[in-house]
Amino acid sequence: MTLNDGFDRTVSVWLDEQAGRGAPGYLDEILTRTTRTRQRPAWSSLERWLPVQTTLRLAPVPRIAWLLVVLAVIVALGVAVLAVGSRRNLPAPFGLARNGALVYGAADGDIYALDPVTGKSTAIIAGPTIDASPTYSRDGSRLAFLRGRATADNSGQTLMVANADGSDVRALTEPLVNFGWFKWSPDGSRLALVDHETVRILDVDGTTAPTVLNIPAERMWWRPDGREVVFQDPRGLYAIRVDGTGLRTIVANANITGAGAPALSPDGTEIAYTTAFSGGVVIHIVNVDTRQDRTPLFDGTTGVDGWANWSPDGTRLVFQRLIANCAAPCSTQFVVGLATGGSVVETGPTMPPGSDNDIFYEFSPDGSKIIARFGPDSSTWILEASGGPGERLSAADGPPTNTGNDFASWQRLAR
Amino acid sequence: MQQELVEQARRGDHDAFAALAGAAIFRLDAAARLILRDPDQAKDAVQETLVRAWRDLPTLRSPDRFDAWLHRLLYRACIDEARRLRRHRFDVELTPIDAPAIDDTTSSMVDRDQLERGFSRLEPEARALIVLHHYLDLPLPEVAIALGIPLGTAKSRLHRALQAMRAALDADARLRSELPEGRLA
Repeated sequence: MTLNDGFDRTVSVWLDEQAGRGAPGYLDEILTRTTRTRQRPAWSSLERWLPVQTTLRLAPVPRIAWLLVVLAVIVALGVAVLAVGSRRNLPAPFGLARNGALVYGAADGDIYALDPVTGKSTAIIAGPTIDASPTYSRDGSRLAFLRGRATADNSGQTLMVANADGSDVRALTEPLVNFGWFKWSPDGSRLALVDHETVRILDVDGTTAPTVLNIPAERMWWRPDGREVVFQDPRGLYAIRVDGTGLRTIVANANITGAGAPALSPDGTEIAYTTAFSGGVVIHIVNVDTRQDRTPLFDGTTGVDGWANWSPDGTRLVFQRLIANCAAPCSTQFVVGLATGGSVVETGPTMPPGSDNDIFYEFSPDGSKIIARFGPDSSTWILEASGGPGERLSAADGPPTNTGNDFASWQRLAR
Repeated sequence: MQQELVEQARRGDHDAFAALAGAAIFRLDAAARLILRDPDQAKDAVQETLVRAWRDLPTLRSPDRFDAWLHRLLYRACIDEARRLRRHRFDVELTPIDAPAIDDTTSSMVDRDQLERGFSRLEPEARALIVLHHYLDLPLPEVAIALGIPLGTAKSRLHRALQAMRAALDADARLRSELPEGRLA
């Protein structure tokens, strides 16, 4: 079935002319990237799941031991009743909370807490070691961070934990290999580590053996009950219980664009993710349990709305929107709207082309602001969720707040 | 020789992969530029293709299918790149008053411009079909594999894509023939 051989030949000759001669000059750049990229194991295919390995062992418990346990619980409850008045009031792991400090890893290798109101920065973990990527637990009482200098394949750093004031620093792991990211459990008792081949779940207090899930996750999120996690791999979004059972597909879609991570809603029921289609980009919201998928339509859309993150009460999204009627390459804008779609407000400056490398943004714990990092200098901004130009963050006292590859973690406090 | 390099690269030999990448990069880059019509996007697509190829190579079941698999990765990377950011082009339509003078020495240049216009108007998927078959000289069965579609579908889509290009050329030819004699640019 050909038009005519003459035209086919014309097209071939023309394509050959258009292609030109000479190899492109970026092969070395590619090979530098690939030397830092770990190969996937041959078995890592959803069609060939290996049995999930767990190192958690449950031994039979004698009856007398159960009686002692019951007695201990009764005593503990009595102590708790007496002690409750002296305990610090902690926020619930999800939902609105009060804004606390912003913690970040600075270029000097120390960890600082910044008061966003006064702009004062205080070093809370300092010394000769290189410390980075601090993240508060959901209740704001503890920090997890990475110590050491990472090699080209993200190996060599140790996961550390400390109190929120920087005291009681201790190592939780050995030096990690090909490390991806980590995530606090909702109750702050565990940390999950992702390294593209496994998800390791560690007890922060070290009282139980770690659980290892053999899944090639790139990112993962805890559901609020702490019993199930949602994860992303190159083929889509999935869920699995932390004991390794109940693997299920939420979205089987390899076209989920990775420019911004999918985001699990605070109540753990929905995921906002982004796909690309001919001519544009769209936000999806899928129910984790029913798999019902919807695409909210936002007023004034230019056809490129994507990479949404949730407000802490789960009612709004902050996302990126391409500027309309532009000549390529286009600028982008942060936009806030209801998760059901409809009207939106713009917040923050228009980001010129190229600003979206290394971009990161999320709502403050009280939902009134958005902290964002973007731009060629990776500057950090505080934007108003209700709209407006926003404000570039600067420390009135202390080191510059350009945190490079780090991103500030906002502490959640009880309201 | 290539199969041996693929086997070595699958086992983590990065030098072997570098040799494979070096041998492939010119045609990948050229194909991506033809499909995407933008050298920066093409570079991104080729980078994505080769990084994925290195990362996923151990999962390739048949090393002798390396080229077909690589072309599939390139196709996906190009389509993803084309969709990632919408480009707004301002195509300049030649009006009769702007058309160049028609004489024998300029006809080949006009044909190339017309081919360019006809080709650029196609969707990226259609351009990819034409590039894989008419530039990379892949047989249609292999094109179908690269695109992940049945052979019959690949044939009909290719036919429609070439028809669309031809229609654009015919339209321009009719426009030229309507020019009053003596009108120059």
